[in-house]
Amino acid sequence: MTSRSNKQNTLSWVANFYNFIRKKGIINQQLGLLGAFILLIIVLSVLTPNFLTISNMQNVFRQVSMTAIIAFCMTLLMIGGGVDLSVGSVMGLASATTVQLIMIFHLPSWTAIILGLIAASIVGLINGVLITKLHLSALMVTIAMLTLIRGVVYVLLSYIAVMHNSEVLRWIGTSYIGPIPVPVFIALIFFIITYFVQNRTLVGRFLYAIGGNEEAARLSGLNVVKVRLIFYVITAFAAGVAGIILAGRLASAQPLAGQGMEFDAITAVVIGGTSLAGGRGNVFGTVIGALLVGVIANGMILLGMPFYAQFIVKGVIIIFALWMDEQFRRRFFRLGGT
Amino acid sequence: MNNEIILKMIGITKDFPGVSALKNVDLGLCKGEVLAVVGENGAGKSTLAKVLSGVVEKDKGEIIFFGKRVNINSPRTAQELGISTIFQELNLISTMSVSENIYIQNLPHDKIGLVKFNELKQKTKKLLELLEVRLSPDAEVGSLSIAEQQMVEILKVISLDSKIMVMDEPTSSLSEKETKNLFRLIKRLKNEGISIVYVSHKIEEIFEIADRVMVLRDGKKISEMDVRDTDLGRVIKDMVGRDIKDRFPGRGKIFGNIILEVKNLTKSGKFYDININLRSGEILGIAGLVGAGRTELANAIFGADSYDSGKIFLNSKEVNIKSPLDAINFGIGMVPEDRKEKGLILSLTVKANITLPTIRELTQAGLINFREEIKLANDIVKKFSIKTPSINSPTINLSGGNQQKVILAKWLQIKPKILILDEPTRGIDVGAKVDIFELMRKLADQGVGIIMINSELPEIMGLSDKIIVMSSGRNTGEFKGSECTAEEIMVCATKLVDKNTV
Repeated sequence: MTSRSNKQNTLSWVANFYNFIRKKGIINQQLGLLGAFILLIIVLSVLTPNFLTISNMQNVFRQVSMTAIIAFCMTLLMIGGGVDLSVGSVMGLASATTVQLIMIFHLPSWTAIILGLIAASIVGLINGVLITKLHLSALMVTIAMLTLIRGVVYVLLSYIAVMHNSEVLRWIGTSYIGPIPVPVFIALIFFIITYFVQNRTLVGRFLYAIGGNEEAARLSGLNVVKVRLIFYVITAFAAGVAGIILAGRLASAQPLAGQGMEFDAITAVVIGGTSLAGGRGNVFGTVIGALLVGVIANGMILLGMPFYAQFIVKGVIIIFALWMDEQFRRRFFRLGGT
Repeated sequence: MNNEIILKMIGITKDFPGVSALKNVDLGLCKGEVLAVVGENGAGKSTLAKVLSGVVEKDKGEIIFFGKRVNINSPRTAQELGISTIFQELNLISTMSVSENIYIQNLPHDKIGLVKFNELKQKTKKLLELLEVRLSPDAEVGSLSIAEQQMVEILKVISLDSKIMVMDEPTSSLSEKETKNLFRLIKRLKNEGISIVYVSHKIEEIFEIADRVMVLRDGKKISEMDVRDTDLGRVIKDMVGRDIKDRFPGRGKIFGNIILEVKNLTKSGKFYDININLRSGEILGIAGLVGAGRTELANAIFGADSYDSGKIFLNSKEVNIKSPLDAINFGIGMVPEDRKEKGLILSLTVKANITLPTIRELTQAGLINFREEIKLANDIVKKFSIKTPSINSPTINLSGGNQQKVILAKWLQIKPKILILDEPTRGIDVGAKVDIFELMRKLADQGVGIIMINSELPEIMGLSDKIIVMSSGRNTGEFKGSECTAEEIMVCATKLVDKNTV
């Protein structure tokens, strides 16, 4: 296929998608997303024969798992009105902490992993306290933490990539449980738990209430501070898990591990239908969002597009996701009444 | 009054998803007259106002303005035609000053574009004096009370050059004195040939200020007549479709023990040395001007805000209420003043809002029992006659009266022993008000102690067993509900108000 018909293809797909979204309501948004996703897969598998191979698919899923794990917890956090931009650096922190504990202090792998996760959770706790108790801006605090923790990572690794020989980490990053890669398995567990929390638990209901109207929720007897704090810790913990997986895949701790992950995660969440403003959202949509982002990235590599094009496309997708968020916000809060 | 017809709205129809708000409504407006549009919540009067002001686009019908057919498809179009609107929801910039908000659309400036602040201040001062409003032109709007903000909104619209002014519930937050000032202004506007469409729930006001009154019910026009040719009973009957014999249920007969005692409660800057005794089965009304500190007092008792000193006793035991959750656990519920901002979570469904304070009881081991929740929500909707397409509709689509019912219903689920209601009937139609009054009395008869903050004297006098009056944060009077006059209450309410400041 020539590049012009590629363009036409994409444009008409976008136009159809746009119209579809406009006509249908919020309930059908996820179906529309699913439809777009399936369409994308069809298009890509026609364009490159390597796309729909088992090994490539496993690759995509492995890569997407890390984003997904963070994105699921981020979905819950954002439903509650919070946001965490430091997840990328926290990934690096968990990765660096764990590897160094193994290589320098010769701790057994699982102990190091647990300590790495604790380190990540502590960052989440700090974020949470600063944001919920001191009422500092979530955006600013987590951006500051992003920078700060990245600096800590450099220090921990003395500016170089540190290789490790941990069997456990390698297993987590590259092995399988049956036919399913371990990271995907972990992501699946996270999905089930977060979906459950969102729909069936008390705290899930609280998240929607707090994100929808914090003051009204408080006046209804909800402990806003406690609920938000919990999810900052959980999100950081998830970032820690993703960092451990990365350490396993790369057989090393990299100083730049996880950089940029925050945008991938947030893009997945927003495309999936969760509002940045809080009060609305669904983990199920995030799955599709994460897959969409991952497949597009993978597709671009297979199509041989230059490296920088990925950044441009990712940027466009984020803007598109924000626009969709606004469209749904408008449709949801129609001007009406008597 | 000139008989020249300047505005004709013909066959206006507007549908919203799930509800038909206006059905073929006609309206005629003469020059220099005040046309009142009344109706229950859900009747369509706000929608009609919004169609005229361009906020909402009609589906069918024609608008003929000064003999020419016009298409009002945005607020800007309406304003350019000379139709300006005071909305129920305030459209002020809270970080800017009073004068900047009033003249936001035509700030006095020189050729370069620099704002002439002195001229701005002078113009604002003149306008404030004209309306006898005690506000400082430099005050930050965000720091003003709701009533003061509403005054600023009114002034903003008055400063524009309009031929028609649409006022949607302009007095909902105003005191009697401020309302009288507004009416004086309206009369002045009439003399200058400006016509006014006055949408209101307060039917008594209509008879004071309007020339003609139009009644809407369920989106249809029921009647339109000269105010001189009709009376309160007739208007209410048209609005509701049935006779409302008694507006207020009887007073309480038997009272139990003192369930709430407030001693010397003080919060610097808001209220000082407040003492309250509330018995079981009693309705205690708290009267006073806006700004007297009543809401702040209620928030303190409910744990929503802190207080500096004083004690609170429940059933003679001293308690320390530090958060709304504490209050709920003690059996105290509060329906807040600002229902959209604080009472409801608009993005959630009716079902989710109703079950929120008691959701823990529908939960086992952290998991919500959905079937119980749905059953509870359905029971409540039926019991309170809440008009909603379904329990899964977002509450934002409900009318004001039904939203209030949802909030009340939600608080009744905690089986409160004490219920605090802050302006429970604001913006609610006659029919729903009666429902709410009867509900309050029924609750009281079951032993609940009720504290009601209300700025409408007839209501507070008609409903309360006991009335306390607050003025500038202090308790200035206490009366038995059946033995007081409006004048006595007003005297107490204005006792401590400093003449020089607001």
